[in-house]
Amino acid sequence: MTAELSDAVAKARSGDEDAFRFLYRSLQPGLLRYLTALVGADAEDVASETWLQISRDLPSFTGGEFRAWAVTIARNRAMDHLRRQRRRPSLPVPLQALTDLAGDADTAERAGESIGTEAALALIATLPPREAEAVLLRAVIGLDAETAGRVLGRRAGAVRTAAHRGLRRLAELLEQRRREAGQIPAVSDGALPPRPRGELRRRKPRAEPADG
Amino acid sequence: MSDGRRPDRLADGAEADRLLDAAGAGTPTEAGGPPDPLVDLLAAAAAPARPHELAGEQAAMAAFRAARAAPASPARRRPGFTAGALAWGAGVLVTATAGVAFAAVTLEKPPAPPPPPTSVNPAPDSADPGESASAGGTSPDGPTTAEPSTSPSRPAGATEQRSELVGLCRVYLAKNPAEREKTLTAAGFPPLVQAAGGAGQVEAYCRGVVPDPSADATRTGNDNGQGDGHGKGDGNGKADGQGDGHREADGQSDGNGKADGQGDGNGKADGQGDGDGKADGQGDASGQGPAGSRETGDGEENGNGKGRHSPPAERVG
Repeated sequence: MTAELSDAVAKARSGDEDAFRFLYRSLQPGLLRYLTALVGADAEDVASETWLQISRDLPSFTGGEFRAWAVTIARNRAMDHLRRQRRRPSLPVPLQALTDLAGDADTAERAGESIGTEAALALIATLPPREAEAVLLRAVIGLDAETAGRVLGRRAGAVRTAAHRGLRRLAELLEQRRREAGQIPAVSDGALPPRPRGELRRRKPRAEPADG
Repeated sequence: MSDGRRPDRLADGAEADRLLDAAGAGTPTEAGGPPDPLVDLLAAAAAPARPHELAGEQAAMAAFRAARAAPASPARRRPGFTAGALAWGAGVLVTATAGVAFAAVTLEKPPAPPPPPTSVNPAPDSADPGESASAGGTSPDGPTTAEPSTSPSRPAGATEQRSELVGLCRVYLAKNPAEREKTLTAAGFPPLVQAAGGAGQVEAYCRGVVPDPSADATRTGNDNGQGDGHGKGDGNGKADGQGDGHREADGQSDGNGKADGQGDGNGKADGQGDGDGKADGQGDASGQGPAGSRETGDGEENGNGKGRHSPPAERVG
């Protein structure tokens, strides 16, 4: 996977469109999911900005782990976005509600195929920000602890600890749900109630302090 | 159960690392083990791409092409600032300060408007993209007579290019109004400026092409007078469509007064859609019913107008 990526990066740097497309398709889902945990419904816009910058700065990419480079850009864009949002005096709440509505409708529409992923991400997003970020970078983007640490500006050990805590918390949450439901919740069948989505939004700002 | 699903199995960390690595590598299945909700959850979170997640591909490709066309300089803040981009920037600046779009028109005024995105035009009888759009310039400060037009310098298929433009528009509209002008000077945006017919038109253009009402949550730009009146007359019917879109904090209110004057040869249909899109991205513009002329049920709106359009049109026969 990594070798394949490096190959594509080299080709994309020399102008190969197909290689760039491959990079996009490989990275975008993970980036988008990670960004959703950071900025909620604005993740797609932030992802667009991210790809704009990636394509612009690709020539200055000096090697190393491309995914880490890309996800660092995404994270910076997300932090910018959150700062912008905070500066803006009033977030138009009704519009936000509308957006949510649209998002929910979308989700329902493609529920058949994707609710499992949405639910899983929503559950992860309920974790404390550091833990959520660590879990997402490790499990969804696929970075190792050292690389994730570089992205987050923290030591690998700290990332590892945060990810472990996050997993433990998730396991407890799942266990709790299982007990509540009286049966094993099948995440992949979308058995998780949509509650965590709202949870995610309410707790969204909490993602910010994770900025190291 | 004590089958390893208990949280404390993660106590030593090695197991947690293993789960994370497996999920990250896309091989999260445990052979032979009992179903593990945590493994399932990580697998679901790291599931392969779903189509909607790749919706921005065209925009990303467009950005890539544009960046290739204007290769980055070593300077990191402003890569892509080559002479060509500089020229564009100058043009953008001129148009932006002037507030009107004539400059771009003199540069290049390409013809045919791109077909609207498919999702925007569900009317079965108006499937032809070449519907005549007569922008109702009823407002003084929004002389949006420039139709959205494709750039002739790009040989790419119109559809593909259009979705690229839509992608750029999404990025553009995601910006603060204050930052938008700057955004247009970034690598990748010249095609959008060009397509819109000038920097001053980009916002109006984008609101017209971006179908997603959720993209508007933060816009504060007002472009009064951006009304797309789609007058479509079949046969000899004369159809005037006037759309008047006033909007606040909202994109996406096409005053899409659609009047199909379909009927006898002299049927004249005036559709007036007055779109007052105030933060509600929904509504139907209606050019309802021809007065006098025979109505064949076609003088109707399709839900293109995202702004609330009132009053519904009246027609004079």
